[in-house]
Amino acid sequence: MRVRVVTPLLFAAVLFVALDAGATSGTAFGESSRVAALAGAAVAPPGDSGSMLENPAGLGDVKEPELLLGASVARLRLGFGRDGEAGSERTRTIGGFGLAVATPLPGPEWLARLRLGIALYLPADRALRVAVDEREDRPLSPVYDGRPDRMSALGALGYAFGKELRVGLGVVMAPNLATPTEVSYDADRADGVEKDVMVRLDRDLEMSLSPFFGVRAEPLEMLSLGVAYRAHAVSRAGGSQRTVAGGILADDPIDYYQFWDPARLSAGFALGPWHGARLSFQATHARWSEFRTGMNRSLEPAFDDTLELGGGLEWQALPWLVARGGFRHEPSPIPPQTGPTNYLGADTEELSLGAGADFRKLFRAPLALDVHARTRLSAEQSADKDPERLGDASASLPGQQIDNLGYPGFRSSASYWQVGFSLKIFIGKERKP
Amino acid sequence: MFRGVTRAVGLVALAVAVVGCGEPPPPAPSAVIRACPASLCVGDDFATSVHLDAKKSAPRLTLVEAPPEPDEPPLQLLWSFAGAEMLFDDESVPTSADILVSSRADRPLHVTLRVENAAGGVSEALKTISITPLGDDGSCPLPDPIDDDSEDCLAIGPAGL
Repeated sequence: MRVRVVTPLLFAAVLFVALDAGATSGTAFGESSRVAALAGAAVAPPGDSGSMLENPAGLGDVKEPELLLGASVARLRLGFGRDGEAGSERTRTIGGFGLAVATPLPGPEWLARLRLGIALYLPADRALRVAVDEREDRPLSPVYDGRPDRMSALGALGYAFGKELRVGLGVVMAPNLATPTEVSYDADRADGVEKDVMVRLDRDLEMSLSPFFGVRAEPLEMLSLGVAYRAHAVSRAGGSQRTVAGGILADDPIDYYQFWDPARLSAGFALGPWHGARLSFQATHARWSEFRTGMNRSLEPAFDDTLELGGGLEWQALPWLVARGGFRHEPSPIPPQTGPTNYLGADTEELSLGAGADFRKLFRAPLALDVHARTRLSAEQSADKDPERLGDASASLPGQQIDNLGYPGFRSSASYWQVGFSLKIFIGKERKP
Repeated sequence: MFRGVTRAVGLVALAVAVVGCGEPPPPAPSAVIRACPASLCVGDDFATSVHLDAKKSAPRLTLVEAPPEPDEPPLQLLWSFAGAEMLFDDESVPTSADILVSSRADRPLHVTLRVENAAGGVSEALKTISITPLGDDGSCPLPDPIDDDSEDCLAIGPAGL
């Protein structure tokens, strides 16, 4: 009894310590191995500690305290070439580490139906990267540039209303940076012009919260339904930028904007298990039209909202072994790039494979290991510039000056390969529903 | 068994922590490009020399012009080009601080300057020599010649803004 009470309290303590530490979740491509192997089609099937973001209602399926540790490594290739020129490639290795905990609460049955969960993700390369280019025409991928480069965290609650209905809600945290800066000049301060310049910096990291919630129902023995919504996640960096020189004061505040993820509404269903197999389908509406540039400006024309379609299969091949596979079609949100911006991206197909071994059934060890491999392959994007939409690069010269980095047109492609694992450690005893 | 797993997880966490604690990056230099003229008429076809000057680059990030100290090693410079086909004029080489280039000018010429200081810090600046479409009468609307000190020869980079 003591273990049953102490363990969930310990998890709750970890949750609140982690939140207080300002850790953050929801990093792109940082899903758990099971979710990645299902190509994200995890809104309807039973959930676990690794699928809280996809549908927090799945927390209601957690029957015992569990700790999930995961890691993944990926290779990203982005190709870009202007028409009539040799193309160039940017390649990057992206890795990261994930942690999630979920537990039912101790106590009477009404309280034991409540589950708590947190998830953290830490990129191997950078804890946070917000890059705002001075040129708006720099070729950038809104899907791959920046989004994998942030630490993230979420906290969630799930509640099981009997066997048929589960609901859940949570918040994803995104960091914001307040950066008031003052630059002043004092000719008598020191010897040398450069040393007479004084720069006063103030930096404060604040957290903003993006809510998400979901429902999962099992109206029939072999049918599950799920719906989940999560708000868009952004980070901002801003503050006054005052420059004082004698009696002259210039205040040009900055407002940098990093669009991490669009708001998503997902709905899906799962069939099974039937002969050990469960098939899930999912449609996700992503509100990419809310995308804003690094300078916090809306785009004209705006990005398109997209409807992603995907499915996943879980098959209990052996009592201790599950095989998984998934597919997702991700339409590109990027409209034809005929104007001043050069956003890279095209329709993408995601294919994934994975497996899960439950060592409780193999060695009686309280462990489960999931592995996955997935690839995301994009079609080739092609863009032709319209000189009339490019504007004038230099107002002080007569005529129209064209300096766009995508002129006269360009093509791009992308591929992403990832492998990863999640190790689940079961702690305490299973709580019977 | 469980204790062994706990130890293994602890060791992995320790290894991650050690790997994650890297050296801070070296201080970055300032890369500054001054280009004149800043635009060429479409079809210039290597007729005009563009003067590219990196002499305002500095061994450290700075808000004002900061030439290197006398005993400081020189900056390592490297020019690279994309976009329009280009040629080096005279004796210019891509590691000089001061070069002359010409371009076919059928499209913009994108000039990148890479600057490395003695500490190994690296900065890059990008400047595009734009193209100006010809007027309705087929003439080049740009003034000729362009003064090297004119506002259209803006420097691009941290110290040039």
